[in-house]
Amino acid sequence: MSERLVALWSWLGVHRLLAGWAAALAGLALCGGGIALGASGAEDGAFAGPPAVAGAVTGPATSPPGRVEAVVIARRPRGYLARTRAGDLVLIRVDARTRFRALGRAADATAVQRNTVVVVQGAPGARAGVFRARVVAVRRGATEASATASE
Amino acid sequence: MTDDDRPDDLDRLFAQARVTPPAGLALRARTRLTAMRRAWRLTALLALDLAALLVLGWLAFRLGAASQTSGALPLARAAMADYHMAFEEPVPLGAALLALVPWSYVLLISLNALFVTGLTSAVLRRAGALGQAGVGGSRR
Repeated sequence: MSERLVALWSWLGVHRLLAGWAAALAGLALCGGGIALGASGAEDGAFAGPPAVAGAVTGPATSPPGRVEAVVIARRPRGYLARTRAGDLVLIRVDARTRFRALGRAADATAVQRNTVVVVQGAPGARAGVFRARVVAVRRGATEASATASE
Repeated sequence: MTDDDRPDDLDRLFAQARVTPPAGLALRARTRLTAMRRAWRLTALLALDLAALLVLGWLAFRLGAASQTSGALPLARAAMADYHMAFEEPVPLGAALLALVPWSYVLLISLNALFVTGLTSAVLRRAGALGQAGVGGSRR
């Protein structure tokens, strides 16, 4: 047994460049595979729970016209950059006439923060990916979303 | 003394023979023994290396799950799918992505990867020394 080990290690020592590359590739494959496997088994924490908008699971194209459910990514000068449940990016444009609601009551724009899940009622803009909001309703606040994501 | 204990012709022949060991036998035996000990030590280090690789795989799995749950991976996929929007709003998208990445897992994976890299390099270097000593398969 010891003799075989010595022979094996001697062979590996002579071909250590090959062995090193094989080890590096194995590590990369393990990392990539592990991340992919972990992601495939987990849910998108931002949208945990049933969709507030019927058809929102499949994206704005099949949602009821004029409504979209999205998680706010960032505030922009004239609205918000958001991501829908289906994985599309959308620019939500708001103006002085846009109404905000939170917890079933009237609210203001400060109710909408990053990671807030909102249901937006309005109409698609002239440009693709833009949604003009008439009503922005906060479905779930940023702190609740963070708590769910950390579970 | 019995008949069996009395020396016979063969015993008297061996007693008269001058036996000399082969040249360098002691050195070769010591070298071989050292090589065997090194080989076992390298095997133990390899087992530790493999265990660290398994931990790396498990940490990668946890990173994937945490990234999906936090929204980092869905956001990255959305940005890659809608790269026009990503080019228009790179700063807010980038900032949001950085905020969503589970950095604790990234740190643990980085530390583990450094450990695995260092250990693997050390193992291969020692294996190289073993190979260069020419002790592999040199049986006489």
